[in-house]
Amino acid sequence: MSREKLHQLGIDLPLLPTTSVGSFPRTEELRKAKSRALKGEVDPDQVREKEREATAFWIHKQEEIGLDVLVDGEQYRGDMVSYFADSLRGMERGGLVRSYGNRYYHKPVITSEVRWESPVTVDWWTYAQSLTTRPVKGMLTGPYTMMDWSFDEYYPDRRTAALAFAREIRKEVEALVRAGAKIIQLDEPALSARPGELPLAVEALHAVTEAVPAYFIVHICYGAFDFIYPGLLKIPADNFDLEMTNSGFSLVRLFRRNPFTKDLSVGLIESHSHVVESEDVLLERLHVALNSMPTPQLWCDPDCGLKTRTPEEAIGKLQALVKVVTHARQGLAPN
Amino acid sequence: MQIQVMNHSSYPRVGDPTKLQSLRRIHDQWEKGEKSDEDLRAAEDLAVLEAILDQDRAGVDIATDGLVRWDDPISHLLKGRSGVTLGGLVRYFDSNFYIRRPALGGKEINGASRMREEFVYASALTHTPIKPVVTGPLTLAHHTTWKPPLFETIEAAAEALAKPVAAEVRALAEAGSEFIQIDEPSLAHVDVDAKVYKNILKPVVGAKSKAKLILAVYFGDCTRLLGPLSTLDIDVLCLDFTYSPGLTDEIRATGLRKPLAAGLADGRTTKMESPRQIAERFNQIAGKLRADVGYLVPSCGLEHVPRDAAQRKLDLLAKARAHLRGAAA
Repeated sequence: MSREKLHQLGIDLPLLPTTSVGSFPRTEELRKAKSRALKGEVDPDQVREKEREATAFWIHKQEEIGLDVLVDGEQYRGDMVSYFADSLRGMERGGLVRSYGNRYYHKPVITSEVRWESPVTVDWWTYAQSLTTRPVKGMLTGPYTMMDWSFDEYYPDRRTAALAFAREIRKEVEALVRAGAKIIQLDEPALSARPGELPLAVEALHAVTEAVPAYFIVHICYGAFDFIYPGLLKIPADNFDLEMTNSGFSLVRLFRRNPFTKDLSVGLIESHSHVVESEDVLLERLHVALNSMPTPQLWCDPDCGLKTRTPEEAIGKLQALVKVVTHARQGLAPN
Repeated sequence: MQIQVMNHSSYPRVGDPTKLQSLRRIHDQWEKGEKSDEDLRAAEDLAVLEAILDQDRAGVDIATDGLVRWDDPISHLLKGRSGVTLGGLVRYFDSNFYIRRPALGGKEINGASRMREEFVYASALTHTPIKPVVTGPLTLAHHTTWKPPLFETIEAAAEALAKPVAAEVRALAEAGSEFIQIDEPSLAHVDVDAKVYKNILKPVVGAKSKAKLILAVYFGDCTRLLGPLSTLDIDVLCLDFTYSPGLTDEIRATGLRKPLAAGLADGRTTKMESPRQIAERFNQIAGKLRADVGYLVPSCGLEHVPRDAAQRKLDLLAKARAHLRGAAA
């Protein structure tokens, strides 16, 4: 069904399309430039040029590896929430808060009505897409996660805040579509945090996507899927990009009771491990996925963004993924 | 009633100024093999000192070491113990903080105490009593995995996990800890019979010696738990009022026979309550508390807010204490 939608949008993909979730590690040159910029030794234009070079590096690297649907690698972003918060009126940069282990992020603060004033990601998407003939995903943080991962000092309740974000994020979605994006991913890692709020997340994502001519992927990771499945399927997404390896493919048993009705980008690679998975390990994981749902619905990618890995690890993991999927395709015929 | 301010548990390990980020930098270098274990330990020591100095500046009566050495509340106690393997990341309740979920491979979960040394170090830095925090057996069981028949129920897993918890409590009590907090946020999320839980907690209670045992329940509604929790053999109940809209009315209706640590200041938001508001909310229940002492605490650990907000939360609790003491004078 969604494959048909992709076809209507002018995108034809092979069986088991391969992609990546979004972020890649910064290149060494960019890392050095950012470090020097902090000391005032490099001006912002020079950093931006390095970000463009790093984006080009990752686009070409993904093509070379053989991925089917590309991402821009998010070389220009700090983290997924503060990057957008910095560009929206009504939000202030917050202090550092720990997310896990030794990882921290600037948790933004909502201080007044949230307003989208101009495109945030469109220039980057346009640049990335200009470098390749393969489809590049538009990448946005979803309204529920923007609300949940911000301190709210303005709105009376969580619903009002989430719907305000939805209204404004839709404007970015429309801008991406006007620029030519056909596949748009909404990252919603917070979505499983409060199962009782799933209807709110559904409502907010409807407000973002309704009647927009694009193939929507919703990425969710590191959550308690047991509590939001099968309700999750009410979300207006064509494809769910789910972390599966980290959670030991526990979702598969849920699919046996309630079949997964959308496309599924199945996380076959552990994003927070330094180990590059062997082909045998990846093949075993892929077989679990293939046995759990119809092949035409399956996409293959890592569990989550790869920005915490070294460039060598990220490249090694993606190469292994593509090799295993390419091999698997030879034994499969479209259903 | 004597009113005291108590820090709940965690305190932000880093702050936004560069000088408050040395632990973050050194930890990062340690992960890459560029710094030694001793370097990391020294950075943690400094972060503990900074956390205690902030609490002393705010004037808290009972402090913690900020739990700055903890990767997370689950792995800190279980990491390195026999039969335990750390697994993938999973969200901790409805926060945007993630833990590494351990897998249990055997019923005997043994290993040396690591909290005793942490407590001794922190206590030497201040005259303020340091309250060590130990994650409770039910919360540990709720966030670990195992394959039956190793354990058939979460209660059975909790019973096994109570042993390392009790061992930590014993070591802390022997080291002279006056207060020991058992963190059990899962009590607000897992239906467990009060008598069964009392039994699970038995070895922990038996290990406390002269220390006062504080049971902390947060990240969930505590209202319906008030009665059952009152029957447990613990010395202080620490409850999250921010998730429990009916808790004030419940206490006013039924009273409470145990000393209460009232989590009235929201540890999850940068919105600042007014000290007067906190004092008034405490006064609504003060007449129903049958205890000589009452505690003002944040609703949960403060590492969910930036460091400057954490400082202000403690400051406002100290001001609320002044309001209450003024009203009593």
